[in-house]
Amino acid sequence: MAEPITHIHKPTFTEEQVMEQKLEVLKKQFANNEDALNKILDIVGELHEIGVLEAANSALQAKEKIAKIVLEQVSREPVTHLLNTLMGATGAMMAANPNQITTLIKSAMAGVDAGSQFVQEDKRVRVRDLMKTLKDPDINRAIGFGLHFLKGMGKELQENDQPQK
Amino acid sequence: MNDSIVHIKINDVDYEASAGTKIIEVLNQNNIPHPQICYLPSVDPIQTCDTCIVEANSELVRSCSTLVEDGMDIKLDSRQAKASQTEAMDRLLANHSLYCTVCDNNNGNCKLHNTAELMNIEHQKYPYTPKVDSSEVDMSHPFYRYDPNQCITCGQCVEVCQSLQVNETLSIDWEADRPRVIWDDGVAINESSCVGCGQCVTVCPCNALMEKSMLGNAGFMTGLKPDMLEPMIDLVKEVEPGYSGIFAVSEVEAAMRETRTKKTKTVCTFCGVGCSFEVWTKDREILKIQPSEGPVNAVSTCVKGKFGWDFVNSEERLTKPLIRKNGQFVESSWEEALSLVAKKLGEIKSHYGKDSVGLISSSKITNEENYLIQKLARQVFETNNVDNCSRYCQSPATDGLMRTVGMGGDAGTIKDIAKAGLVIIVGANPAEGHPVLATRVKRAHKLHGQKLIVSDIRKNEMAERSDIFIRPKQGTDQVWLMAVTHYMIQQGWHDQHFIEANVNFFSEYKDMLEKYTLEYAEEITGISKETLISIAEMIRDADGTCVLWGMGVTQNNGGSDTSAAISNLLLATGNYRRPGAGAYPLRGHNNVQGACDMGTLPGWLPGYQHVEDDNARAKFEVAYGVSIDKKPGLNNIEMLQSISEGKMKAMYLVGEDMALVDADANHVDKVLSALDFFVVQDIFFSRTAQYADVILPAAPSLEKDGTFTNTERRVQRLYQALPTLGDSKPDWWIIQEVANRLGANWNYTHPSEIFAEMASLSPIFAKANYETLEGWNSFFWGSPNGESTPLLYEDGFNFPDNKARFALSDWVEPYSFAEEFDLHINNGRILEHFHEGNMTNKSKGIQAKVPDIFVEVSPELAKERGITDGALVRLVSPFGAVKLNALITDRVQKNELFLPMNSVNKESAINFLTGPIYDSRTNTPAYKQTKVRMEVLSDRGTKPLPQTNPRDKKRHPQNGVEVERKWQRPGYVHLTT
Repeated sequence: MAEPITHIHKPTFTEEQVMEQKLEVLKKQFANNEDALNKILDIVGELHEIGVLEAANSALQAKEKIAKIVLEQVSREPVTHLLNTLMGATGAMMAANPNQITTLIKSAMAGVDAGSQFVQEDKRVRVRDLMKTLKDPDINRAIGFGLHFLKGMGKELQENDQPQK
Repeated sequence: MNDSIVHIKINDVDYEASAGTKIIEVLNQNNIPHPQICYLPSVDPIQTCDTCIVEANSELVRSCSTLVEDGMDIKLDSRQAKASQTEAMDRLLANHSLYCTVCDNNNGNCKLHNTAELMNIEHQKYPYTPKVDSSEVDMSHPFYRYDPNQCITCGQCVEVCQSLQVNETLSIDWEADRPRVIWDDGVAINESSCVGCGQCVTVCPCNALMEKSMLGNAGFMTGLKPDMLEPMIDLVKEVEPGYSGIFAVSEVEAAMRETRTKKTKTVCTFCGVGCSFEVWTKDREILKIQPSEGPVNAVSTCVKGKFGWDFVNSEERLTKPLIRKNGQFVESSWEEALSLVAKKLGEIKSHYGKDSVGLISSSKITNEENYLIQKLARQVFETNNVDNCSRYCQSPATDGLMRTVGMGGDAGTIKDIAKAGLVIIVGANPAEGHPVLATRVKRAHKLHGQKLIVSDIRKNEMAERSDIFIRPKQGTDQVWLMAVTHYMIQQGWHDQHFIEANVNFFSEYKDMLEKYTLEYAEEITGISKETLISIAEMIRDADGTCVLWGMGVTQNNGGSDTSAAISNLLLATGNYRRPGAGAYPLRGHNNVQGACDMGTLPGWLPGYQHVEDDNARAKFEVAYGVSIDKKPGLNNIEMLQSISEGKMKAMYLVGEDMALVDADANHVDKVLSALDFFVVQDIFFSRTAQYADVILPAAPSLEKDGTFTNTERRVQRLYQALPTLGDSKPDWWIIQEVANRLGANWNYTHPSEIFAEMASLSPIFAKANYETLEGWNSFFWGSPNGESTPLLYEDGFNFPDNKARFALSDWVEPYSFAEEFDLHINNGRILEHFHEGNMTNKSKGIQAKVPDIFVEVSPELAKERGITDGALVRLVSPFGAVKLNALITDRVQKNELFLPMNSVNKESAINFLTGPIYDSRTNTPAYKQTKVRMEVLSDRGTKPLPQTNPRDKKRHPQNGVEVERKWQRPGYVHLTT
């Protein structure tokens, strides 16, 4: 005759026994991964020697404080402006045609070279020279570029100045 | 629906589409990405968000509500269409703060996030401003929260509440300065009529409605405290990057989440409807349940399926085998426990003979596990003494169908029920017992003109919604069913042509019906002649009638005959062999259908092959290498008798709390005590387990692979979502270990192999396998050649001549009690709890809503006995007594009481009242035929149902989201032409 049992006897382990069971599990894991674990211990040793572990430990403990400080710093107006500027500049660079930019940079470099040469010659430029040089196709091309550059920039400035709808 | 094809152009490319489809459906079918924030295929077009606007034949229209027309020229991204879509999105974003990376809904499936990204939204036109103070975020409900400040008022939550779940709680206050979602007339969620089905949370396209289990839990940075979180959000806004930048960061974070959050498809374990969904887990923690593409439920769930899974991680789970030693249970190793089980069961079999061992299987475990239990019985113990808990509920329904139409399953699917012109529910309360199935009836009734007749002694939710509600005297359903059939035949409203072509024994049946006149029915059932005529007329006028029934029919001494009478009525009126009609016994447990299909029945081998069928038996004898007894074995009830008589000595019981769920529980206690050896396999230390010699810890559905078969005969796969807890094991593993220790030499490494073996021996499963069942796919048994068969009997009924048979059974009078037992006590499920509740009572949220058991008492009776809510009463039947608190409600009337079955306590469990009264054909206990007398122990007390329970709260029905009210708002500018 089986009387109903309402109690489950669960073995109670002493702290030492629980520790022993956990160590047993760990021991197995160690034995199975000996090589990898040795390497990790070497690395840890190195890191400790040069003081990285101590710094990391402190930083981890102060993680919330540090995060708040970083957040405060980056939330300041100059920084948000900087971020906006960087993001704007990055965006503009991304929008530009790389071929055009290459030509422009090369041309500018050539201009710098020619300019430096002129400065070294120590000559004066007169109005007559200026009028005459307009006929020079190289100079005419550069001035044309400059004028159209100003036009394009002015147009963009006006469009951006209008209130958003 | 018109099936003809139309030709259209989308962005100048030619497409074909079926006439009658909406533009958005064509876009989605062709995988053309297009914004559609508020589009939800399960409901009618909501039309609140306007993001789906397209240009069609030069008009701006909503693609979600505009049907394609032949020659239609559709432009998705013309300047005008784009402008409308962007304006629509801008209006939404003014209501929603985009802090995606630190949002718990950033899991790759946030519809708002994905749409904004799809539309290349870089900035928003209207700045975000909160609607309310952050203190108004509603955290009151145990399972979910609503944050008005994140809500874009797209109204999907309202639409599903009003028109899919049809609980009618949510609405949008369109006339408010800043519209928002409200519960009832604006009360806190937990004080409202919300039943916690969670569909609103599931469909929310952002984080306005969130499962509390997700909050602060789903992301890597979502658990931040406000003093860290808010500055971070502010920083992001101050820096004002284009949203594509924000989205990129949040996507990186979402991708990281993907590696940690596991999403596993499973099938719900809380009832026979068979909802399927993904369970999201993080290690052993359940983050949420996410329904989406389940073939039965789509986005629907009930409170249990969506939120009731805490039991899986309960401290009370059994995690080690237990052995009875010196008056206590002691933990053991598997080796020790299994060896002991095998040794004892083997000894008893060899000493006392084959039939000295009985096996009881479970309707909660998988098909594969049920198959193995019957195999263990028939191959290893060489006995047919195997049964399952359908004996307590469904056997009479199966019997009634087997006799009349030849197959013991639902005639069609949930889609047929939704499609029917008339649904008749007899003795069942699907709104609580089969909630998602009930929603499809509620939706069809509310929106699509479906008629509803309910026959029940208790006024449940379906009764409140019905067109005709009858309360026949207990145990008399068969009489009104036969009288209505008789009357219809007399009037010539039956389907003579269908009967001649399809049914035998019509003249014998007509003769038998002679007695069942309307006058006789009125006298026996108490239902007026006029009402019975109205029922007959409604059946006559309906385009398809489905009859749904449950325990109110089957748990009677005439349960099988009443089931047959239902089938007879359907046969007489031609309501078989067509969509939108037929017989639908509502299976209670998640796999009660499957347990029977797999042959854990004393008379049936897997796939409904009878043990008396020599050919079928021979096939199994070859496969199992043993001879199988031609005589059916003992059923549950007979096994208990056999134990009492000292013949059966040992029992192996899986997953059933027999000491609670069997009738006359006091008697069961004694019988179980008399066993020489008793093995119980369960996930919890059940009441039955207290009598065990060995308890084996099993794994619940989330911890194993397998299949379940729902009430529609639909087989669906479940995938392992979690590792097994502790040393618990899947049932199939345990059964195999026991079998092998008794010399069986089984070698199953995965349930798919078990399924394949079963299918190879069962013609009706011949074409089913794990590949065809992959993912969301499913299979319906029902064809002799093993094809999937959603609608039964299309090629004729399951008899040699393909003809059905009218069953010829007279009504039997219910059991009569001595006069002192003056109150009838009814019992049944309640929505929040599964069965006796030992799984759902581990959920804090569910316990908060229904902390206790109670007995429902009618206002008349309460007045007569001088009691109020909370009064303590003792109920005494000839077989036992219980003691509990009263809840006064007009759901019950006069001298009728109702006791929910969610009790694991001897003080309050219904089966300490029920007695040894059985259905004449199947031995199913007549639980519903119980009478008691009531003793008042104290006339008042605390109301046993808390104020926060949704029962008795007033619902707020309306016609879906009512977008017209949005359009009528002053200043609203239409974006369509």
